[in-house]
Amino acid sequence: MEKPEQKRVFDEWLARHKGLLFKVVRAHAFTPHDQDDLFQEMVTQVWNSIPQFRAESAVTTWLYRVALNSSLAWSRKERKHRNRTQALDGSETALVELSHTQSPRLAWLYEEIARLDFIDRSLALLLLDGFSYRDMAETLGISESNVGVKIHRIKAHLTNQAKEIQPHGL
Amino acid sequence: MKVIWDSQNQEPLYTLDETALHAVVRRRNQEFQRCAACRYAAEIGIGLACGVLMFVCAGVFAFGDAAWLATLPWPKVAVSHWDAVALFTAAGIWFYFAAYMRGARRRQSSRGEEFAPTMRGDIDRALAQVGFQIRVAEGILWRGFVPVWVAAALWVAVVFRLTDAPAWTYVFMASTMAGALVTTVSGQQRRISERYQPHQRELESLRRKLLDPQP
Repeated sequence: MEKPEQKRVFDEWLARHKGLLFKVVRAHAFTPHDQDDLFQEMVTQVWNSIPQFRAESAVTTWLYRVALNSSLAWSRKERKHRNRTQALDGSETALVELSHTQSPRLAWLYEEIARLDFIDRSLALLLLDGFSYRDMAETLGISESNVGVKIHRIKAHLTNQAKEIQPHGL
Repeated sequence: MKVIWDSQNQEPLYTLDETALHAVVRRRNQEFQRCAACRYAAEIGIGLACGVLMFVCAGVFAFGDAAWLATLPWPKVAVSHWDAVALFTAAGIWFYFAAYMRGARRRQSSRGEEFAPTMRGDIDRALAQVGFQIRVAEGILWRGFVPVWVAAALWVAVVFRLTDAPAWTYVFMASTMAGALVTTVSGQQRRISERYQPHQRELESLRRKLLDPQP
């Protein structure tokens, strides 16, 4: 694939689907610096994934998979280097947080999702974004029945948590 | 919950600086490519450079004019054909090391092309890659470090013999090189046990978690 075409696709995907990437970032990184770092990692992987995209799945499914895998790799790397590295130089901050738009109920939901392990967290994001079991199975590479079992557990867990936290009005 | 979740679609949590973003993508790709290429190029380059150096020296010793060799300032004893044989052997080992690293680079690049485009496929690919790294790290002891150590020892032995170094320097150098080999091997073992194997266990656990349908 030629670079101008790759850049066109990249810009188009980012314009249409950046919200999806933001959600994955928000669920996996919890400080502004980490969020920016993860987002940078994610868009780099999105850029690299464009030549491999064969349109066999929806763009959103593809992007979710790239975003979740970037988060997995980033989390591992971040854990390893957390105590050894300083913040990035800060010269290129791509992600600017609009903290004034943060609703407490949404913050609570992200907090609960962040408490799940990586696989369940990925499923929760896909579930809340309305992906079908088939799409989830396709993204994660497991059977639909397996997805169903896991989703059932996640729903039960989140519902229990919501019942415990009355002030959120869920 | 769906209502809460969808509320962020109306009010985005972040905004983007697109110019900075493009700069970031370019920079990160360049860094990654540069690091990977540099690491392997350095190992291959060292193998080739040492191989060429020893090959040239061996060639000079084997085929150089004896009268000219006698005029060189540093050999204090006559060059024998065994010096040439030792250096040809050392050169061969270094060339072998360069070829081994080149092969490892090629195998690593091609690793994991056959996996499905899913998260499970990615985890399987990562597992295959880390498994490959462990095998390379374990194999490099006998296929890389020890041969290179032998090549270096041959080189040092030839240089010491030709400079008529006292016996204690052989002992000193032998113990230093043995220490270096032990340090390198233990460092490699530590890298396997503290870096690669925990990473492998983590991926295996993720894979099990992904496939576990039990409540």
